[in-house]
Amino acid sequence: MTTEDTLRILILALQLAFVGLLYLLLFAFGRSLLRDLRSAERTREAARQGIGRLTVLESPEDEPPVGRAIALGPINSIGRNVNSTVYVEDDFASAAHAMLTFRGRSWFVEDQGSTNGTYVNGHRIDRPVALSYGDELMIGRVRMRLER
Amino acid sequence: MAITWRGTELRLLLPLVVLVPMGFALAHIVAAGKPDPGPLGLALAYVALVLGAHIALVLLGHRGDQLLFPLAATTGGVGLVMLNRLPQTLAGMNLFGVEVGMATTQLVWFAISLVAMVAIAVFFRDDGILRHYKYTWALAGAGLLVITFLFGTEINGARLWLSIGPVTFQPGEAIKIVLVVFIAGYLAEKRALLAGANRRIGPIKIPPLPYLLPMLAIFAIVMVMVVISKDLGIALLFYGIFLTMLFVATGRRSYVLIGLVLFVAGSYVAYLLFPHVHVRVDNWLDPFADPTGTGYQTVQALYAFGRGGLFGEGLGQGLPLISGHIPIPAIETDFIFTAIAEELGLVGAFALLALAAALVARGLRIAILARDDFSSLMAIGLTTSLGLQTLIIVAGNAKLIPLTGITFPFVSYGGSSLLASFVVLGLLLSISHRTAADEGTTG
Amino acid sequence: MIPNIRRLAGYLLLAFAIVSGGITWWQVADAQQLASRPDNPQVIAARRSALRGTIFDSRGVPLATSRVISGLSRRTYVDQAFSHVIGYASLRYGTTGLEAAFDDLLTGRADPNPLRAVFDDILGRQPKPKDLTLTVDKRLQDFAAKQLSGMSGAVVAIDPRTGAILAMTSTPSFNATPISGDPNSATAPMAALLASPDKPLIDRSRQGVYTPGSIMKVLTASAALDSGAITPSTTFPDQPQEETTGFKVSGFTIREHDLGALRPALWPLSEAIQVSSNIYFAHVGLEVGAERYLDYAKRFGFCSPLTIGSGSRTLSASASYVTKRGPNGGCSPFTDKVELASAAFGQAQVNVTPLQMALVAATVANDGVMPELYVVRDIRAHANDPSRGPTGALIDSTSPAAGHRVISSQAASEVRQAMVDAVQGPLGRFYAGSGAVSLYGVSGVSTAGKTGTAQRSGGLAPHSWFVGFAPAQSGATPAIAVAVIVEGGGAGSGKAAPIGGQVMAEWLKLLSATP
Repeated sequence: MTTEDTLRILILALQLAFVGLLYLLLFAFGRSLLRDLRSAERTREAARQGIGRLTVLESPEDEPPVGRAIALGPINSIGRNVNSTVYVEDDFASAAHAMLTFRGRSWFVEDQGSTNGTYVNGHRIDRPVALSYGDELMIGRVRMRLER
Repeated sequence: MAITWRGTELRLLLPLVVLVPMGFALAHIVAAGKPDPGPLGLALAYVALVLGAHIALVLLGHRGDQLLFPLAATTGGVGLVMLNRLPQTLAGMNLFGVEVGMATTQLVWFAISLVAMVAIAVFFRDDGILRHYKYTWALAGAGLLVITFLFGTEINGARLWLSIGPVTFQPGEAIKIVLVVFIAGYLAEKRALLAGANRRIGPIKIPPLPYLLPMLAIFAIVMVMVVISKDLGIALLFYGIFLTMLFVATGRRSYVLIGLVLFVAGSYVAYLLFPHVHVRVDNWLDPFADPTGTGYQTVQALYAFGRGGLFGEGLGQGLPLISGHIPIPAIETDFIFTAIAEELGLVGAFALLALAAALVARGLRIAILARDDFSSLMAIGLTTSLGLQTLIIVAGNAKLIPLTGITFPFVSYGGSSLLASFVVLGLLLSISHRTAADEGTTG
Repeated sequence: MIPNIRRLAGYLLLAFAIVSGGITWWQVADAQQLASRPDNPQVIAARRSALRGTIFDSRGVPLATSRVISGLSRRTYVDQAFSHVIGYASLRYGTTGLEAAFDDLLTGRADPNPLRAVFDDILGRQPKPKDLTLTVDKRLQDFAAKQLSGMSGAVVAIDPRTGAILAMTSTPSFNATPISGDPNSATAPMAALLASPDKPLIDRSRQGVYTPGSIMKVLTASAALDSGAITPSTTFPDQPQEETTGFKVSGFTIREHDLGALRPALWPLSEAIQVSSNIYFAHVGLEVGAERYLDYAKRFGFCSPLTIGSGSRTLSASASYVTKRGPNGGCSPFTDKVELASAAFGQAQVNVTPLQMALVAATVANDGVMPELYVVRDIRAHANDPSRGPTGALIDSTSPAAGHRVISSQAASEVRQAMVDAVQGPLGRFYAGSGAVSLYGVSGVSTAGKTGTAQRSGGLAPHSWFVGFAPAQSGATPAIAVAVIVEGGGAGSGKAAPIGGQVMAEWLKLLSATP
């Protein structure tokens, strides 16, 4: 072992340390990223346990896709406007088709003057109607069910 | 403004205090052949700047994302270590008659960029300027491009640079940000129309032209100008950002498909029409056909990758010289990634890519959490610009796509690139801050 | 819009994965291939500044030395007689000969000890070059080269018992030092060498392919005796007549060479070889038969390239052919009897290298066992002062391999006897001229030999050939087997035979003198 060799070992150790430290930092970033992802999942779970959601039963244009459970806030707009809370892509739906609101302790649906009307459990509504969990809503050709 | 404690950010910045000076010391020991760490002033200055920026964010009550800045600082730190290891005469500036070396110049630009980042992150509150004057911004951007085209200086066959006094900068970087602002504003406004109304041609839904046309027109103009100025890398980047933002805004894969088809068609035409494109593509397909002429850059870069192997040659121990020079041209800009891959190996290259991917992930997260469409789209556009730029340059280095004159964000030498990247970061931080302020959290 | 962002995240992740894959390809999967390309700066840089190991002759005289002057490795070659076998290591023109075959050891890139190699790699130690010691004795090599001076030709000398190459030189030769130094000053000398009409860069001993003429009769006799097609007393009844009228084979008439004043008679093997009768050997060839003849030729090494050395570090020689070269290399079958008959006395499509014929002679000399050729005896650690000889620690030594039997011991001794007669027999002496014995018979020692005068088309002077070995008296173990060719040298007895005899004599002198 010459002095040259000790220098070489020093250099080797430093090289390993450099890359090693870089990777430790990388893992620290990874951990933070995952933590945030999991907490985001948790808030979504919490939101899901909220006041209610709409499960899509029928959707000819597949937007929203069948089977999706759409989380609901206290006030939800439903329609063909992309900015709606519940965006429904259907030729028979109007831009601002209906409003779904949670007042007090129950849900209410109100038609917004749509062209083809809003249907609850098959009946067309002409004034705000209270909904129970399990009721089916028909916007255009899209059928959805209100669930907890 | 109340002081916010940004613990995660501090925790992730502290390792740099060891990492960057260690990198400097290591390169010096290898070069000197004795256990002498050499001058660490630049390394310590960098660490001080980074921590200073952090302190500024803390004192000014910034509540934006806490991972973004450390990711950029780490990437920039590794880049600075590499730039310091390379011969300092490769690039630099002449400040009042004094020749300033490459790493020092980069540090100066770091300082300027960090100040800009903090300023934008903290003080940029009202994005109404961006949102409501989008056409003005677009025109300004196009105007800047015209000026560059007419009065710019040509470097390496691309007329990209504008000289004002002692400084040469790339307006392309600024135009990139302006482009994002404009598209974000336009798409946010017109999103409903673009996504909702449709006409069918077979299974593909075509957007209504009157609404798409103004944006396409301005975009096409920008593209043509960029192509004429011979910088294909920027053209690819702009196009990519445009398609990405369009996809996110409308959700229509068909738009992306049409866009890709147009791109392939346009590329083919360019291949036939422009001799320099032809050369670039042929060289990409088989660089070994002319390893000393047109293929030289690509071939030498590939050799560098090969020499690097899994663990690299070691910092300061790779990059063999031919006739006293490093045989890879533009190693401090276009090929900086290759240099890192050679000396730090696949593990080092992968680490750098992972950092870039993490940055993109955070940017997308900011976009998801953003409160309104405009901010969300802005975040998408800004994040995509960083991510796509990284992908394009690395893919070009590795011969997956033809080579372009694009820089690696935060790593490549170059004031304009560095400043633009940190401005992007600042804007992302400001969006994140507003989201957090509204929700009462810290990002 | 959020689901779109998630989808975008997926696409971007995919893009990063693809790019990572691309880099992995170059850094890991294809790295070996990239590293071997000659314009790779790593290879170039290593070569430029790498100290090369010294190459010594069998007695430790340095033949090729290196010094690193201002970062450039300069190679100096001491002896032009060795220019072909050692080759050159030129920064501009690459490596040839032993410099090429042992390049990795000479530059130190390869280490026979794998553990030390790994340590060197990790610690980044500079590779240590290795020195080579050859089996060739400089004194013999220089002697042989001097005999050939002024002519184009080659001498190959082998130790029949061990397979060690004792001498291997080709003339005209060249000075390898100017082309091995500074790449910028190498272009002019190289251009001059390439432009020279007598082609000094070609190694005639290994790569010169010539018509052998009568020396082929050694192989014909070996094949015939070993297969039992003839015995030493076999005669062919029509042969005396055919000496004058010619031998008709399939409509073609084979004619005897000019016998001069000699009168044709019924000759058995010994006499036939002494006068070098083409008619006799044409018969012998037909007796052996096309397939069997081809088989024996291949056993002696014909039809595929010869190699000196073993493993991955070999010097190769061009293949020798008995018939026309086949489409995928190798020998085609004989087309007809005429070709077989003509090949038996070394004409038709037969093309040989001097190395091949020396190997044939060595096999006969070694009792019918073909030795395994080698030219590098020792590999040692680099000695800093070459003038003191190969003082480095011994790393590897070639122990002579056993060789493999090609013809029976009986057949070998019968051929040996015939070859002794060819040099020392009454007809041999008569045929070759009375003064001939003292020329190529080594005095006091029995010599076996065969001359060859290879006819060439186009009115060119024939090649002068000689193969032989000594000492050849019964009970003695031959110490040297030679093959000599002088291009366009005329009769075999004229130029080649005296050179062959003198080279053998010189070697026996050196053997008895040096302790």
